[in-house]
Amino acid sequence: MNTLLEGLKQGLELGSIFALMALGYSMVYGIVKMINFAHSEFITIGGFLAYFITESLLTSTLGSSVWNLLIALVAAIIICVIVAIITERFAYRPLRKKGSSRITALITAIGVSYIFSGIMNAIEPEQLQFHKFVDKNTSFYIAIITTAVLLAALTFFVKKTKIGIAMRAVSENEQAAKLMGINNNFIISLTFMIGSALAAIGVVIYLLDGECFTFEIGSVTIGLYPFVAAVIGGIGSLPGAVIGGFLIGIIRAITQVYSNIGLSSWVDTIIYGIFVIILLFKPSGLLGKDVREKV
Amino acid sequence: MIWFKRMNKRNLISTVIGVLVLTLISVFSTKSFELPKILNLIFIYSIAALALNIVCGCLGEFVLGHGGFILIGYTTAVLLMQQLSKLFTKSMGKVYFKEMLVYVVRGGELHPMGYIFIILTVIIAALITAVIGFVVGLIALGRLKGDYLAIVTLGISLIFVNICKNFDKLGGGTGISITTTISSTPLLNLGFLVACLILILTFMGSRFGRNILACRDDNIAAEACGVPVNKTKVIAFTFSSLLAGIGGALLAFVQPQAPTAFGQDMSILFLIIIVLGGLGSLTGSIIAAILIVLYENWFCVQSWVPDFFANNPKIIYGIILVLIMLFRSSGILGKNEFTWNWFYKMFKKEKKVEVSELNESPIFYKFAKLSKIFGIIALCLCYIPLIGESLAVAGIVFGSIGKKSSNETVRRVASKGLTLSVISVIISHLVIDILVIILMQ
Repeated sequence: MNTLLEGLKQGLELGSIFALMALGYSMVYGIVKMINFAHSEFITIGGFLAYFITESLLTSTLGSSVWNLLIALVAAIIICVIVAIITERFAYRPLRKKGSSRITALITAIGVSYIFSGIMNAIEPEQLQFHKFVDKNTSFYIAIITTAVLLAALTFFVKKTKIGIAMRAVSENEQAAKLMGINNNFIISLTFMIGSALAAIGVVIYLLDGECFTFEIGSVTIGLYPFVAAVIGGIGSLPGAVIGGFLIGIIRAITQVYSNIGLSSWVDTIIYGIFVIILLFKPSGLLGKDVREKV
Repeated sequence: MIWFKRMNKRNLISTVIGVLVLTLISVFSTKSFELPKILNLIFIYSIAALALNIVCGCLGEFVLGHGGFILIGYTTAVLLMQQLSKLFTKSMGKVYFKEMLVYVVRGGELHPMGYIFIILTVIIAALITAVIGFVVGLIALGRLKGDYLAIVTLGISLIFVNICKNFDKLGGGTGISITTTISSTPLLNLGFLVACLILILTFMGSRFGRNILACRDDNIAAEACGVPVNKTKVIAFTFSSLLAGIGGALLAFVQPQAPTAFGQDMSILFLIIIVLGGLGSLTGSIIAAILIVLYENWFCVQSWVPDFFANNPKIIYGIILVLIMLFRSSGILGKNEFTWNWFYKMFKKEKKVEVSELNESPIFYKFAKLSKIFGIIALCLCYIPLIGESLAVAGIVFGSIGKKSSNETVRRVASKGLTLSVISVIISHLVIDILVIILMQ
């Protein structure tokens, strides 16, 4: 029983981290209808930056205080946002202008993700360990609270503010939104920015309690799980992404807790199996809208 | 066999000559050390890329889990070979079979009868893969499409990888291989490639093939015309997994790999190949497969190439993908195919251009003509080192000058010269390399 509780606790923490990353995937997919494969590299970039900044600040007067972490977090968010803007501006926007097909967009995203992943690999191929700022217990609360606050803020932002309404309009119908005087490119850039900022926050929380990581943290360790979470919850739906994130996080943590019976090596089969089954019965995810094909 | 009937005598003879040349290269390549591996990989990658191209290019559905099916082909082939060799060493006391098995298992010069074992194994493995592909297609294709289908197939392939990784008999962490010494010959793989091509051409020329193309162009219109859309999709997917199984099974005889190598990265590698060659273009896939294999196994190991290229293939692939998507999203060949008609048109004379009609200096026309002449001569002399190459380079330079002309005919002549020169550069480089390798032995 204790192990199960422990698993649930870890799962909630992991789940809220996945949820943060899934929100980014979900928002970007909702607005440009493209699986942003480069999102996993935003995660890696965020983690790397936070690591290098905390390491360099550790020797300064700040030491291992909270300020060190906050500076690293803010810097990671800013750089991630800049990278996202550059990616969107130079890789995705030209494609949108040409009106290319979705397969083209997806392959470009894979290409961008490969470039970032390769660069990360070239910079630091070794395993790194993040400085242990807080213990496991605190990081659990931080993860839960951050996710709850950010979800509430995002929901408010998307539902009530003018820019949020514009965002929903663009995701509903790009052309019509343009005719209503919405600056499409700005809205799409903004979505990418929010997504990458969430990725950076998520990865910093993930690393907070002294986690080891490599350049593959975004593409392998965390990998496609956030995306799977977003799809399970229903792409484009914010609460859906969070539900999916918690689902995947809890499954993953529980399989890890029961590693003594060999469950942990089956994590991929279990998660992707559940994912495939859910999609087969609800093709647009748990909370997604069904869209009928029209002539 | 509609493609066969459509061929005229010239094209048929050219095809036969082409296959014969490839056969000769395959036979003589065994004298060298690196060449057989490169050729094997080229043929196998071509088969697997063609398989993916049938679903992605011809059917228009997006599949990201190709590696999973290659893995199934690989694993079944290995298991079958293990069982076969066990079976024969146990029950067959006859000397002949024993002898044959020594050849099959120990490698070395392959006994003619050894081929039959390999061919049988590959066919059975392909059939098993096709059955699994049929089941997956039946489940996934009817309900999902677009990005969701891509992600679900990726998920399914990762499940395959995970299962194989968890059972030591199916591969485990390090992977299983047939034996360390056995290797199939390029000739065998070439044979399979030709057989697969014949199969694909027949299939795509049949009713099913036309249905597949109709589904790609417009799902709803196809359904309205009485094409059974779901059935067609499942058939195409099954056919694709059959070919993927062949590719995977052949790979088992060439390059032992761990199950994890068949995950996301391999699926994406084949995606890169078909996108580079052009979605829907069969010959494009083969050309791109050649380029990718040569990049990995020939270009990267050259001494004059900086280590950066060998150490960071991901950056290079990423840049290639993004640049292709931004500037030529249809790939090298687009939806076109390499045909003999196109090839021979290169040598045909264009309509003569009167110099007085040109609104520009006649120098462009002269350069264009020169480029074509140089290209043809270079193609004829490409087996001579340096001479063929320098002629071709001159052809490329003249051709690119000629392409600046404002007259359309002149530009066409120039682009012909350019294409011929580029082809002869590629061939001359390859020929020199092969000659050097063979002569060094």
